[in-house]
Amino acid sequence: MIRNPLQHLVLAGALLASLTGASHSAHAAAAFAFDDPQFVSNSGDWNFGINFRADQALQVSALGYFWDADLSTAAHNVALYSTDGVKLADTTVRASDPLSGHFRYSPISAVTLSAGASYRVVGASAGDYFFFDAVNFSSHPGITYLGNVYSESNGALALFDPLPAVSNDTLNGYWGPTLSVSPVPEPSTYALLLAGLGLMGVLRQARRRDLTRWS
Amino acid sequence: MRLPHCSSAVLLALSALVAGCGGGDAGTSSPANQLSAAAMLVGGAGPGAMPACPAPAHALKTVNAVQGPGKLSALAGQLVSVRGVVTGDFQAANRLNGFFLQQPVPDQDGATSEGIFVYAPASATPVTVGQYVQVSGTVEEFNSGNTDPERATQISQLTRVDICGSGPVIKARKLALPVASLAELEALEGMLVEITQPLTVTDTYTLGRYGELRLSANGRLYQQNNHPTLTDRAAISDLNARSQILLDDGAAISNPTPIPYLSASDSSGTRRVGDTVTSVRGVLTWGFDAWRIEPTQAATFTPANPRTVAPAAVGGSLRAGSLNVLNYFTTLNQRGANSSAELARQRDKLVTTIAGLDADVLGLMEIENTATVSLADLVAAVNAKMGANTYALVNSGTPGTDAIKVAVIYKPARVSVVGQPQVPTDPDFAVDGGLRPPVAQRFAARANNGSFWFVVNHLKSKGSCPASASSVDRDDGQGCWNASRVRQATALNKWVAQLVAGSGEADVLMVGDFNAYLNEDPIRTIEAAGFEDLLKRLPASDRYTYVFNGESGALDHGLASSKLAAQVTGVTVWHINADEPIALDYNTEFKTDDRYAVTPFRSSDHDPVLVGLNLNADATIFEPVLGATLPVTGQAGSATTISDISAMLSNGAASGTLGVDWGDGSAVQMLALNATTAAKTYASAGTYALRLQLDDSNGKRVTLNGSVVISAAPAPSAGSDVFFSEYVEGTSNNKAIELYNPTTLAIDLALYRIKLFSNGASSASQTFPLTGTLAAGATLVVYHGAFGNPAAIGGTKIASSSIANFNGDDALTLEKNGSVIDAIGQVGVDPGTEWTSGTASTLNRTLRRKSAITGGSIPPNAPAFWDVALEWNVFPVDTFDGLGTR
Repeated sequence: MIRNPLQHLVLAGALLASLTGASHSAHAAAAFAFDDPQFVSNSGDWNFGINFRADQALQVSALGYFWDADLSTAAHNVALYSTDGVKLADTTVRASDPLSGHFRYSPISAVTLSAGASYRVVGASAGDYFFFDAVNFSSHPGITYLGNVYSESNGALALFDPLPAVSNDTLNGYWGPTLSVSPVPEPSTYALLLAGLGLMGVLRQARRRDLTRWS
Repeated sequence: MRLPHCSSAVLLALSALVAGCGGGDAGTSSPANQLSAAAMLVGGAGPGAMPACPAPAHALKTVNAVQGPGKLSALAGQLVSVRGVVTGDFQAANRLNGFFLQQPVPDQDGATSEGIFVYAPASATPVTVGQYVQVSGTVEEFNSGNTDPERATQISQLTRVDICGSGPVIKARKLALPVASLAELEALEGMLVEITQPLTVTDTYTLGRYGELRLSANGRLYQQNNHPTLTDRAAISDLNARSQILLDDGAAISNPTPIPYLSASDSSGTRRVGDTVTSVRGVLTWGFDAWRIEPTQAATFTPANPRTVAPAAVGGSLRAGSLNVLNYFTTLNQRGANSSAELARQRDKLVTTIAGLDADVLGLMEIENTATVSLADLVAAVNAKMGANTYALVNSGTPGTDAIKVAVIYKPARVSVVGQPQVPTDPDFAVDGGLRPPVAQRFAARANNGSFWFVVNHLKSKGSCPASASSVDRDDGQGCWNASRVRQATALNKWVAQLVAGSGEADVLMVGDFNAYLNEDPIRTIEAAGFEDLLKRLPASDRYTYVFNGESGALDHGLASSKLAAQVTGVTVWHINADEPIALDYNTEFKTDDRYAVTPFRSSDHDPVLVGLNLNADATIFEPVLGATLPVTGQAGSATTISDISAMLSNGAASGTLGVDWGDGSAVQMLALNATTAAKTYASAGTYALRLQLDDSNGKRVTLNGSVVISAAPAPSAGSDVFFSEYVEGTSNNKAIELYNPTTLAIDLALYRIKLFSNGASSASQTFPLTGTLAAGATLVVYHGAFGNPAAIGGTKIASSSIANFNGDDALTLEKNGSVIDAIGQVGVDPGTEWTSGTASTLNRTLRRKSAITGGSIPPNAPAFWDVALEWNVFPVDTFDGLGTR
């Protein structure tokens, strides 16, 4: 068993960077990490929600759902909400999506989280496996875990409202849904990025000229 | 689907989480448990809530509270109820008579296990994997082994089993070997585990008997003195202990039928050390002195170390081999076969092995020590398969005193014998009162007359350890009797040097079971004499001939003299035995599932060694050779002996004569050609010319000449004079020596004195003249002045702190008129700490002269071995009750 959650975070980050297509940032990382679960359950059909706060501006490039490599089979609808109930993004996590740590991730169009704002990521269990009572739980340094909620579902992903049927503890939660985040690039980074893109354009033009000359 | 509900009152109780919804006492107060439980306080209808159980029959405890952080449960003997998910079902007939439970919610204390075995023989409430159950019974530490410090905790004497419903899926803990420490396993006792790395079968010894395989990480385990890459013995031993685990068969029965884990259901099935295993998954538990996995799914085996139908090629024009035949006894019910059927099975397997080796000369170990009966029986069977006269035997008689001997067989069409077989007389080959000497035979290749000495060995075993805790032969990290094996190796070097010097033939190949691993002292001793251990030409991982306790290593070797080493073309170990399960051998005991097959595989416990030779051509005729140790002094009336005689005819000679002229005018004494000693009792003192002469039918002659000075016969005879009758070397100053007068007359002691020779000195450090008379049949005890309880000493006694002042490595003599008539120890020799033989020792012992001894005797001069046990009975330290009586 891997006892060091940071190890998971780093590993997951490296994988996520490659699988979410966040080419401008090499730092896409799992929002939450923990040791291998010691038991899993597929009892019931639930919507699970994780409440968290962004402590810095972050960019969300993928939403995920818990995946037991031996047992999980189902596709899961996952959505990201603001605290006023506005859905910011949704996707369906499938068995074909890349596996990183304990989750599979499905890419979304990038959503920026504001520093100090709270959010909720919600996922449908679809009768498939989830777990709870995580060991060695930790969250991304830019995120504070606030708690989690759940409600019964009929297989489809419920809306944000009236999801908070039952509030769970403020510690470990049901997993469930998750997300991967990366820092929002600084303006200077954008400048560099743009400069880089511009240079690529120059190179591309140069090559085209070469091609023209050779043709 | 909704989960079963619990009452809201219970929902708020911390205990509901760990124990399910039936309420009761969670039985633990550790903060970690409370934290864990709080994490689950989600309401009875919430996701993952446990099914409701009936009220517990006894105090409800968590499994981790029953297991506790240590090896033993603090609740042992108490009645408890526990709840958990069934992870392993071993309730069927001939299984483990129970099942494993695991509490789903971990307690976040890494030291406590969340799983436990429930002993439920013939339970009225059978359970199935995945059920959430409540079990009520007594906590018990089940001790299955001899030295079981990690006893397995279990619930037994069940009062009730409740099936509460379907539980969550318990995930197997991933276990990686080597573990950092064995405590890691204790924390997982009773829990579902899986090992995802590929493991290797490292031991099959108990496969047939108990259905177990020992598995290891990073390939097979090697013995600490035979490791391919590591040299730190303690580190290897520690790593080996942390790198292994038993794969059990989920059954507690003996002789499982069918034998599990074999590669086929018929007699072709095997499971070899070196095979690899994946998908090992099951419940970790402790039993019979080992951590073991009771599998919940079938592991996947790969025959990564398959059988080979023949030994690898060794090249050359001649093949020399070594094979321990695992006690080939035609006399039944000794060390080997117990019935004629077993003997036939043993014989048939060995015949296929010897035929497969196809050696031109072959050394055998563990042949019954009869002159030729057992050896001839085996050779006849081999020839019946390979053709008449394919093999012939070398008749070396019944060398030594052991029940087994080494032997030599050869192909007369390929080699001829040169001279007689040789057996050394050096007492340094004796260990613990037993003698199993090497045998040497010089051979010449028929092809080019190339000749070499073939020396077959079987050094003292590592087992049957000496009783004395102070013995130099206790286990020093190289098994017991290592010091004795070094002495044997030194004697072997000396003897082989004599063979070489006497014959002029320096090509020597030693083979055999040296009972020493590659990096142990005996092998290094022989290497230091210029021999090359040929096994070191093999890849390091292939240097093994034996598997003991799951560790592989080479006990069998081929050692070439420097001159022969250049003529060695190759070496191989044919791994037909060490890697194979003992369940496949010839024995019929414990064979409910008998997989016997007439193949070389498991024909013995040791793998054979095979060496290829390309011998340099030699001259056609070898000169005859005669060697011996001639005496230079002797005594009239006592035997004077010529020893170490070795006579070899020139090659091609059909016959010869060996005689000794003792130089006293008597007729020449004729000896057998294979005689090793000759003795003569001269009638009177004088100087005599000796001649030992060998003549052979080639007309060749060789003589040895010497002269011997014979002194006058001593006056007294045994039983007619005072002698040492008891020796006490006790703790502190509890030291005494007892003298006895065996005659029917009183003896004037003024003629006698005792001398003490300290620490190997050649001159006496103390001399103690005796006075007075000693009555017939009486004793006199000389004891140390600070003897603890002199009142315990009977008879006449004298205190002398100077003469009764010895500590095991000192010699004592008794003189009469200046002549030594009795002695304890070898004057002029420092034995280190003591003279020893078996349990007898001159240190920390009371020694009492055997009742058959009626007079004094003088130990032989070193380096000959003085066997203190020959004339003395041994008693524990500080035994005083015999002092004063004979």
